[in-house]
Amino acid sequence: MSALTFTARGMPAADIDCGGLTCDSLAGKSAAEVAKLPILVGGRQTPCGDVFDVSGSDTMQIVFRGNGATCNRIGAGMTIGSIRVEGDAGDHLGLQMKGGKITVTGNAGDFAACEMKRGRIVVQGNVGDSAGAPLPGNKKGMSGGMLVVHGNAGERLADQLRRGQILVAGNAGAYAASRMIAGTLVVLGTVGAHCGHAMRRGSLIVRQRPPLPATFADCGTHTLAFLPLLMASWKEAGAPFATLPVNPRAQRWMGDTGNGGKAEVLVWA
Amino acid sequence: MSESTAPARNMVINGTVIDDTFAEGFGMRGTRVIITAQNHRWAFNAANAMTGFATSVIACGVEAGIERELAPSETPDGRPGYSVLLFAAGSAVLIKQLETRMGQCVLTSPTSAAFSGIDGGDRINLGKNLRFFGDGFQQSKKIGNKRYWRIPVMDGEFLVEETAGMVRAVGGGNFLVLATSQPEALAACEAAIDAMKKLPNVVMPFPGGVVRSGSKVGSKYKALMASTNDAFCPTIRGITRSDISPGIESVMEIVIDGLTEADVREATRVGVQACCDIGAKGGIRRISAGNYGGKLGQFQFHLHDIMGGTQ
Amino acid sequence: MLIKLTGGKVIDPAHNVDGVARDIYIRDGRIVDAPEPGAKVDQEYDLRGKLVMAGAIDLHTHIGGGKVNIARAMLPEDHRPDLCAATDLERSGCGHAAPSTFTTGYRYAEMGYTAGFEPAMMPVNARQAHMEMGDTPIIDKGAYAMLGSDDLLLSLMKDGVDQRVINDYVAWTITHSQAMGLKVVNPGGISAFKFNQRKLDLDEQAPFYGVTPRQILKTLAQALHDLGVPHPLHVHGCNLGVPGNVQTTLDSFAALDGLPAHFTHIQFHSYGTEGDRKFSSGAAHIAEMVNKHKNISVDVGQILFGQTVTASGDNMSQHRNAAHADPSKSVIMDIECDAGCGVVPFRYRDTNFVNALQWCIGLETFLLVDDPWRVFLTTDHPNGAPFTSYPHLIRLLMDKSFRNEQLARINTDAAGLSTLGSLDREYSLYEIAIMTRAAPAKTLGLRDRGHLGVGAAADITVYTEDADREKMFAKPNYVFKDGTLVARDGRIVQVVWGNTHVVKPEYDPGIEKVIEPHFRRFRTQRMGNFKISNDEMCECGHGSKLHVHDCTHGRKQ
Repeated sequence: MSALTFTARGMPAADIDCGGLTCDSLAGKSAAEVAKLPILVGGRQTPCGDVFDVSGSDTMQIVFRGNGATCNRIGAGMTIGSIRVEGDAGDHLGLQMKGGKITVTGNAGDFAACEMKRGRIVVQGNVGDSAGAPLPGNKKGMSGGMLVVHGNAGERLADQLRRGQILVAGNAGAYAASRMIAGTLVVLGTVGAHCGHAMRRGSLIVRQRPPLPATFADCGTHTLAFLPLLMASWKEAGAPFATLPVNPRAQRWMGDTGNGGKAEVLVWA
Repeated sequence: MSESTAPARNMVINGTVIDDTFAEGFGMRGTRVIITAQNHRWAFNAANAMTGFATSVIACGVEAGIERELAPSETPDGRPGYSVLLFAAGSAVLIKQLETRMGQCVLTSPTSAAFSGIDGGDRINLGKNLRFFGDGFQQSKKIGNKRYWRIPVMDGEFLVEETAGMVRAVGGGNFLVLATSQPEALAACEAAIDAMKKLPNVVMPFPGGVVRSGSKVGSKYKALMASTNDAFCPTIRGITRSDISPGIESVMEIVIDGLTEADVREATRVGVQACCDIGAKGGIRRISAGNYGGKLGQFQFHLHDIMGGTQ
Repeated sequence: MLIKLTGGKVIDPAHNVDGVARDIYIRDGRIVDAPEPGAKVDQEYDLRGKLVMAGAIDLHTHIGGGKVNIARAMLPEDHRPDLCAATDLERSGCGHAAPSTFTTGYRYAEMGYTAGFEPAMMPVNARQAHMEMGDTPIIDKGAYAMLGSDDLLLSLMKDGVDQRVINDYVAWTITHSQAMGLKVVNPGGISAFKFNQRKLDLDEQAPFYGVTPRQILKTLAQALHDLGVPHPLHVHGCNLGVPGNVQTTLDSFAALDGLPAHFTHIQFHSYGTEGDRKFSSGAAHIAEMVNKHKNISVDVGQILFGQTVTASGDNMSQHRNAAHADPSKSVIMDIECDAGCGVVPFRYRDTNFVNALQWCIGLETFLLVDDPWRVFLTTDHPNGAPFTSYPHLIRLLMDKSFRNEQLARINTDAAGLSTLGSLDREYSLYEIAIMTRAAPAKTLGLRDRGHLGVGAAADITVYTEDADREKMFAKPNYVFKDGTLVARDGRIVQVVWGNTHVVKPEYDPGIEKVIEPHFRRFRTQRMGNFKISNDEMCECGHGSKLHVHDCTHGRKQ
């Protein structure tokens, strides 16, 4: 069986809501049936086949191909199966995802892994702002699973992260780990201004000292037994995370003392 | 042990008579904890303390021992360590003892960390309540499906897994070594323990693995529930209904707790075999076992069955 | 155009009509006499076998003003799962506990409600409140101006001015904020909160001003009585939500010295301190008092289980409740030293002892107050539950076995403490019609609403009788607003713009010599800008009409 494949027909000007096109909701449907399904394109109900050429039959493996930057909510709420995006994905990639795996070969838009609960998302390129954050106004961001970004991340990365891990191989924008509640954010590149703003608990792990707010306090360099355990869990994320030398030594900063001061920023070589 | 039947059938290995009797085992609850530290010395200190004063559930709550030394490659955090096994008659006692022993012996021991040594099973608290020692500065880290607690302590951070797996286990496996002299009995027991310690999933909870004060149920003193096993005490053999045949001057016992019936059987086999390898020439005259007539325990380890394969 | 509603069973308590089949004629939005035989009927609705009532009136529902907007702004999670798409008729909207203005109007109308009154309009915020209500389609609106913790009133009382000065100030405020009545919220307490006080008892002197809540209640009740405003003082008393407040409430009844008053969301003011948890029902005491004093009316403020948001001027009690906010966020604020506001999202849980007992207390009150003319059906929307749960509440009142089924599901400790299970009363359709139509119209002085007599506005709701009262009241067959069919089978078919009801009691214009300097010295707007003109009202209400009602009710002089 070949993967159920959605190939974009040209570049639609409007946003396409792909939230309904998951392994869960398409199970048991043929490509022809899927093509007839109404989806929101620019806020209007439109047959899926009008914007995508639908082929293949294996609904447990879904592929989006072509101009995907306007394809929003890919994998929203999915619990099983895998989705592969060949090219870019739009906003809200893996919104409230509960299982399965999403791979994006290009970039993803804003709010990737928003309120994600379980599963794994791998983005080969960059992600936009607010990856792992909650929907605006909500109080808890991503609460489990793993987001792996091989490129850079935008602003407010891991905002109000509740649990789970976000690994970024490139750089992160301003306000990384802001208002973080718990969980782990790892950035191998640089981190922008105001990182850890109002961070409550959880860990921001970086390789060079970031421009920390004055409300973070240095706690010295230590051997932390949990770091090797944590790094062992990166094996499944592949290079470069899996191939980092295991090092339990890190300089520990705690903050944001303006919000309890129980979070940590670990600077580790 | 209260009773032991005299040999009805002959089994002799290397001149040592194997009694046609059985050890009586009991269902227990067991758990395994992996304790690591900066080096084996400090991992041993924690593990040894945690399994100390744990010879018998009668007065110690748990029966526990060090299962084996672990190489860095075998531990979750890549440091040298030991695995320990703890057994108790019921889950409530095991949970309480685990918490107390973790708090007093492992949390306190420099550079230590502790992890569950059993995946699955019923999850019981390992570090879940220890975390409150952190007074709010403790941090949780969930990695994969496991939650760990990082508790700030004076030498750095105490890392402990939140829960450990508790499984049904088997206690009370045993055999008796009857020898012509005390030094010969002890030498055989040492050889047996050395061999048995190579096995997984079992511990011999008495000091050095050997007990010399086997007991029977009851006593002439009303306050005592158990008293010396006079049937196997050589110095009074003339005035008791003794099980000791002439020429035997000393009896020692090895008690075995294991995670499964098969583990206890295998430990019994290896231990008895080690004694038999010394054999009659080394003063080992008989091997027997303790039981309660098969009325109390769920498990029976018949020496002839167990040793049949190696006769 | 002449419309004939043929043969429906009419329930019209204002005229003592209970289930009599008759024809109703409508011309130009009014109910008219039967025309001469042979007159041309333009439209006829065959209502044989159906029930006909006046449109329902909600006399206490938070549908406009700053706090509702704050609730909307702070609760996107209330909106996301509850989206309403735009149609050719309806504007898009959203919201469950704090719906948008358009959605509020549609949902009320779909349920057969044709009027709703905002009970806590801060005078300084009146323009905003009226603009929001002006955007609420179909239903009639009105508001009660809120006084009692405002600096000017308390200063005047501190100075010991004559009651007539207070009367003029009250009349001026009602008139220029375009209100329908007057509400007092935690008298003096909102002001005391700003002096860092967290509790103000009935006979405790408010900080700085030195007046007591008892004096404020009495003074304002007297003012409304003297001014002849139909709806008596709308009282949200002291110590809302505090165990033991039943005594405060009974004392507040007594404090009025026989003056009429309406005690609102009484459920939140009926708590005793008996039992192991020091929280018990005071509903029996309250009901006894209401049954005895004919000049007192109450609305219940029933809580129903589920997610909602509480919005109140009572910043003192909301500050206390903020600890229990779910989701955990809240807004507690002062507004121009005129009053305050607290918005706290809340989830009532049937497994929670306190919530479950609150549920019982509200229902006990409904069932123990004998006179349906003096107990009104409210959930204090959205504080106890969203107004969309009224059909469920009606079923709880009308169906004892359903009520007991629900009782069996709640926290058993609470259920065990409540007398609810032993109350056999079931409301009749006639009594429901009283408490949702005739009685609110009467207490508000809406002479042409809440009944089906000739001359009444043709606000009419038609139901198909169904043993499941929840189903029956959720989707009436027909809803007419001022003679226009606006909803059919629970769906909007036509959007009209309802009227705004106000009173304009007389006052001595000389009072502006007192008020104007206060505005100039202390307020962010000038007195001239504070006043809302009639034209402005109609303009912001999509051309809706302003109905000014008489102030001759029990008037002195």
